[in-house]
Amino acid sequence: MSKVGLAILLVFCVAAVLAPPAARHQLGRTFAPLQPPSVVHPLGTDDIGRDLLAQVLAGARVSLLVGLSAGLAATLLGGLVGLAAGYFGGSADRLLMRLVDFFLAIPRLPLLIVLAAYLGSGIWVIVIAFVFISWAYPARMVRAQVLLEKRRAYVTAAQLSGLPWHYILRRHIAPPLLPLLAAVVIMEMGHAVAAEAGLSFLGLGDPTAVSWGTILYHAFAYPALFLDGSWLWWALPAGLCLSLVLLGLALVSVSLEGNLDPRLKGRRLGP
Amino acid sequence: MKLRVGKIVLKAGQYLAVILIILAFNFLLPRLMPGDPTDFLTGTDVDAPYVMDSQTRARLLEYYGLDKPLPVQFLHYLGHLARGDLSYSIYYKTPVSRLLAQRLPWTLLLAGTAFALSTLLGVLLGAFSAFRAGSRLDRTLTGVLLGIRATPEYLMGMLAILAFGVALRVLPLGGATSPFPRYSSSFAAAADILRHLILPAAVLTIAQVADVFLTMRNTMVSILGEPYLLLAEAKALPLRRRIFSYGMRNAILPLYSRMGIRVGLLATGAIFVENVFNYPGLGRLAYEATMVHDYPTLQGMFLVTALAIVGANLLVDATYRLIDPRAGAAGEEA
Repeated sequence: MSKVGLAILLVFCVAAVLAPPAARHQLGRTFAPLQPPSVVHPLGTDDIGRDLLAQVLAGARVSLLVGLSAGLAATLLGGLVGLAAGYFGGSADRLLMRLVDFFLAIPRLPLLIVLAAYLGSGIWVIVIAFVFISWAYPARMVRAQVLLEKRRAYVTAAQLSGLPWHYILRRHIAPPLLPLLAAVVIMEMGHAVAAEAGLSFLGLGDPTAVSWGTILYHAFAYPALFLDGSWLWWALPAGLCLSLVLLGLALVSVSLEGNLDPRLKGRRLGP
Repeated sequence: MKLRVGKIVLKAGQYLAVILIILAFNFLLPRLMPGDPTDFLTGTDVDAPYVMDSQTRARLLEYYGLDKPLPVQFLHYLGHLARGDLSYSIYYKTPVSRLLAQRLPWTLLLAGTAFALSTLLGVLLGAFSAFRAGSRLDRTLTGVLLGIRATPEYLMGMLAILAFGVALRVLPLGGATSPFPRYSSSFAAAADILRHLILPAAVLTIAQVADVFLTMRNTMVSILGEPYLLLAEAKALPLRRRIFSYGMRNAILPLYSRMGIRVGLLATGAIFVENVFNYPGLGRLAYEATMVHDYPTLQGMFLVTALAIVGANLLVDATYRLIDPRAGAAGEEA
């Protein structure tokens, strides 16, 4: 199952990296509006005559870029917070965990909507807003794991032999966290891709960037989308790409998650 | 006994702190947005109803208290909030509380239906799948639901509109009632509302089932290794008895403590579903309000959603002992 997921993601990564040069000459230009698929425009054109294949390919770039950077940044930030809170403990730990409670308790998308509206909704703004509201879950997960690792005999031995804390964290605490971090980062990437697409779908995305969400936003704003059949080449490809990428991430994250919980091994969601 | 009172006070304090941060957040964020509400009443926008000079604008800002320093505005906000006054929507020219009260029932109807149906469906399917873990049925069901969880609500909404609204033409494409309804009886009204509810509620239910299913299934799978279930199987108790009387009672606990998370997921899902189906709930209102930078309405919407989640968590905390008597006894002394 994780192989299927990886294959899906690989295809989209290749498309995102290779396609823009091929599609670039199409991207800024407009043609006859609302053309059904043809040899010149394999996915047709939208209501103001933009080539949709070029847009879908450019959208792959935006979605993957946002997913990768926001997912990594949120996990990194949360991981560092969790590492520090778990290892050092004390009042800073208690304060940080209250903050985590807060960020886990608030509704994410409504907050993201408000943040995107306030910050001005560029792509990087969305990434920053996402990281701001998404670091809490990685922090909680990492902290819990650090508390377990901290009790190991070799950590105590290292502490007693006077090794500096950064050495202990780097050599003894951090490495066993990697499988957990891999599962969390993939999950957060999925959340980030979905969040960017969702915001763009609601018209809160970067107006200058082309993403799958903005394609869907424009498609749904076209009143006759379902009546003249244009949904078939306008909304469906972008939606399908989005679903496939999210599915790919979900498959990989589920199989990574399954490796973490030995009780679920064998009887798990996938091989 | 003393210990218990202390614990309750501590818990209440924590919830209060969360609510206060939400209020401060809620208050500050809309105010940091570019532009101010008067922009949308003045000539800077094409659709603007008025042309306004700077004096009128200053007077309006003063009238709504938007010229005061932020801490003063915040105290003002808290004071009004305490009296149930959620301020006034400058764009809609209605008290926000009334605006929310108009929209909230639709969201409650939609999200409540989806919550009930997805819980029922997810628990049954999850338990069943866990008892058949590893079988082809289990794998298919899990795969399909993972796929559904990966599909955004608006795409499912689109497919539902295509299938039922465009191709089959049996259900309405959007809205919560027929346009300009005139009902002969309350029965006709209920039927019309129900007809409009079916598609959005079905989409939201399907979107939410996956979470319940996966939680239920994974808990159940890990419980199946417990000795008492092995004994039950050895006694050849019927499958239904083992699922419902033996497994379910314990497997329901993690799902129950996920209530707050599920309310958050529902609120998020409802925003998309309401916008796809043009359903006049809070999610649709949030979108409309964001488009016109209507601070107070956004504040109110965000507050209602946040309070719903805090409320759900509070409810779980308060009733968890009833569901699992062991938890309270163990947790209290700790």
